[in-house]
Amino acid sequence: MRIYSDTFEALVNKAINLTNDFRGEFLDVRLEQRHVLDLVHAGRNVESYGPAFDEGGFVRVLSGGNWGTASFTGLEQLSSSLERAIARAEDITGGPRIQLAAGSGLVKTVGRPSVEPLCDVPMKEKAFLCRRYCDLMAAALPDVSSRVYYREIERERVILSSLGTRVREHESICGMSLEMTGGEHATSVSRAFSHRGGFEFVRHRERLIEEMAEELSGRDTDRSITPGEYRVLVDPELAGILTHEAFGHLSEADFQRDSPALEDLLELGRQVGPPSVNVVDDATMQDMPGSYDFDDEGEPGQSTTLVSGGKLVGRLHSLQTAGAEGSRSTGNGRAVDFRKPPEVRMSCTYLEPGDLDLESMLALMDEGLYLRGATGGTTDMERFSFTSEAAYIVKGGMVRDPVRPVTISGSVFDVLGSVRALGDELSMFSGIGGCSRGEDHYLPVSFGGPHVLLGSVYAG
Amino acid sequence: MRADPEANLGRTEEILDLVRDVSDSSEALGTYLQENTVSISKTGITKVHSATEDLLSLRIFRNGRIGIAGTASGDLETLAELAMASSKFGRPATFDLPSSLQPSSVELVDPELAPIGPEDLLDRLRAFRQDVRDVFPHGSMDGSLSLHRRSFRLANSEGLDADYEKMFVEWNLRVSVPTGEGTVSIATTGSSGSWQEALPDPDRILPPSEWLALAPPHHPPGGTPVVLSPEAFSVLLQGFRAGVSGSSLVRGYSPLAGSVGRAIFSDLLTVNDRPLLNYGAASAPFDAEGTATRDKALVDRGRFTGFIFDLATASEAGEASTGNAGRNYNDLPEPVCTNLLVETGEHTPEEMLSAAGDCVLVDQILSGGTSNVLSGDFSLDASLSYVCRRGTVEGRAGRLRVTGNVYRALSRISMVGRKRHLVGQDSLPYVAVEGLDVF
Repeated sequence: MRIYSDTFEALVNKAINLTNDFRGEFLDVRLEQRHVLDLVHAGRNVESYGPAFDEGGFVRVLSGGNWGTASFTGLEQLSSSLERAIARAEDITGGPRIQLAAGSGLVKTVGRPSVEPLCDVPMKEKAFLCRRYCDLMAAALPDVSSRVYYREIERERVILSSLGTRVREHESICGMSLEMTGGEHATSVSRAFSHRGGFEFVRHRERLIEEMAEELSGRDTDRSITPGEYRVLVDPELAGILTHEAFGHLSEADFQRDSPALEDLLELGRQVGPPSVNVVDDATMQDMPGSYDFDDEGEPGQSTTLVSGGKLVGRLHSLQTAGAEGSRSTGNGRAVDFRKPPEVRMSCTYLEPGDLDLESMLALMDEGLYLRGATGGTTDMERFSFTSEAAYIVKGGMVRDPVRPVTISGSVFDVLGSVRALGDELSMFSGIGGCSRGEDHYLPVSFGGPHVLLGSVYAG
Repeated sequence: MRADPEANLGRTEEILDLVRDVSDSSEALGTYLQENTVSISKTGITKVHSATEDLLSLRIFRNGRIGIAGTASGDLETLAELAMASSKFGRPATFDLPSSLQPSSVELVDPELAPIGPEDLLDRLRAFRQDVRDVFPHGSMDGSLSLHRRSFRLANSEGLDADYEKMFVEWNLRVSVPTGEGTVSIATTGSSGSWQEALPDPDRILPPSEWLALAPPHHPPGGTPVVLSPEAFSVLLQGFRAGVSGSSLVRGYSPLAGSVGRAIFSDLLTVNDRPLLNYGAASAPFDAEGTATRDKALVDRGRFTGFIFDLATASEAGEASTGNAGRNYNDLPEPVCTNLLVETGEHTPEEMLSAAGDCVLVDQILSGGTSNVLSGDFSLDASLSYVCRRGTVEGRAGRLRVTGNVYRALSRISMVGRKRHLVGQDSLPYVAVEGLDVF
């Protein structure tokens, strides 16, 4: 299906008039039409297949230094939502005033053609591909359970502001997660991939399934490690997740402003790691789900260096956090959809590579753990906890026996400080779920890094 | 707030008419959500958000398969088109839609909530923040308090047509207290249809300041008694929620399969599913596909009494629906627990610590962690826990991980607290558990 409609165009024109006529401190209007499809196939059964077609908007009014906001579905509610947002701002008395940074006033329309547009592929064909991958996984090894999760989003979004911002984008994102569980010890192997573009990206993944089956056979074990401190080599995927979860969120300026206790730890210029550590957030990495031309405040996406030579040098900003610091937005004011306000969020975040190949890193490590992928994890900003998907014992610089998945935890800054070596190859990843923060879930992001050798990490 | 008369609630018949000739049977659920949310950041920045959401869900039965779709727009033709497309590969239809309904009786709108406005929410949130500052002058609080009003109308081609409206408040708060050894975070969430119950008692969730100094660990692996706060107990119960679902049963991965009627848990444990709890946040007179709801014990003094079902899983299991269907607007119904209430015991938390002797009090779990739904195994990091020696809290534990199995843990409950506290939509006491591994 295609998601344009005449009523949406009428709403956009109405919103342009509202923002032109607004005489208060600040108004922005975000309008969106979106089609979402979530398909879950488990074994021979389709478990979930909820298509949705939504239209709605988000109105934000700054009045008396306070935000009043309103979200809505149903196109006829734009005017009444503006009134509600103004009333909500007036409900607030007392408290600090919000000062926004100057916006770019960007005027731009973007949209890239896909090789195989999502709307041109019948839903049934998408379901059959999920089923086919499930069948292939089931056929690859005896008695394995298989599960495929396909997710697509196609949307048209428009952002307009009383400062002259007029931006519009048509965007498609699709991806897949493949999971197989089996063996004597219920070992799980998974792969996830997604991109900004068409359906062609998820086709022809048969070779990946063969690799997964080989991996499952090779690391089906009930052996666990003894909890304690270990030297740990993490693969690029886990390094990327650590960079995003354990460090990236700390670079979100709204988090910093809300955490006076961390003010000293997060002061720009502070040395947080060895000179080899460089961290970047880059919204311009084309095709990555975390990339974008402009954020949900209409500010252009850009590359922002967060750590350079092991020192904190940058932060991610929205118009609000930049205004509070007297700086400019870095184009990181992002929202999951029209129901949510823009908050400071990452785009494509990665640890820059170093110069050692994997063999040299293993030799340098000598003994410890080699961890690959991640099945889950969390952070309360000062501490983190992540569980690898795969784990192996390393002895004499060689990857030896597999063990059950390992959970590593500790202080974010201790881990950054314990980086001993960086691999020479950067790999980027994008799952299909995206980033969750607070009550906002599934914001498309990308993350990556090289292999990273950590001197000492608590693992169990 | 007032329901919009033009909302999709009034269009259930229209969409059923639209698909009548191309489906064997059909069902439409209109949902109108109104919400006012007040949030405060740690630095005191206040935001007030007003949300309305007008949703319509469609489920059709066609050629022996089920098609579904949802929309937050007024475009009924697109909704019908999506449901038709998904019926080409959807799940087999193994049951019939109900033709009538006698809704159960439950109070859903507290008269005290009806006049509550954003300024009342803000006043209560600021009062709570002041309570925090009275206890911890250097502490801070951030979070939100929301007032929800929800209207539902369910209709199907077999003649069923029913509606109800409910109101509830929901909070999500975090208290941060700086110490010499990092920041201590205390998170609390809850929801209730009673304005009286809005926000927790600060005296319960805020620890005495002398507890926050780090204490040396002395918990050998295995064998350490653990007292769980209602918040920590709630995390443990997530695995139970998954295991008790008829969906887990028919898909073959519930560890509770074959255990109906058996005393597999501690005889101190009684878990009730209470959709008819007056002013419960998850209360309803009927479920998301038109089956009347009913209160039931899921665990009765240690005996597992049975699974919860919706129509689809009930038909697969050869059972009747228990009225537990829940659904997202664009997805198939699934059996879900409503308000879980765990029966209270006899002990205060202080008595439980005293009786447990050398033990660990786990107050807060770092969200996430790993839990295996298939087996019930879990490995959770405690973000706030206390070391207790001879029944006295010596101080805060540093890094601490609790591992075990949900079902074994529920069989080893040795004490249950005498009061319940709201956590999410559940009402839970403190519990003491023997035999969790603590590292």
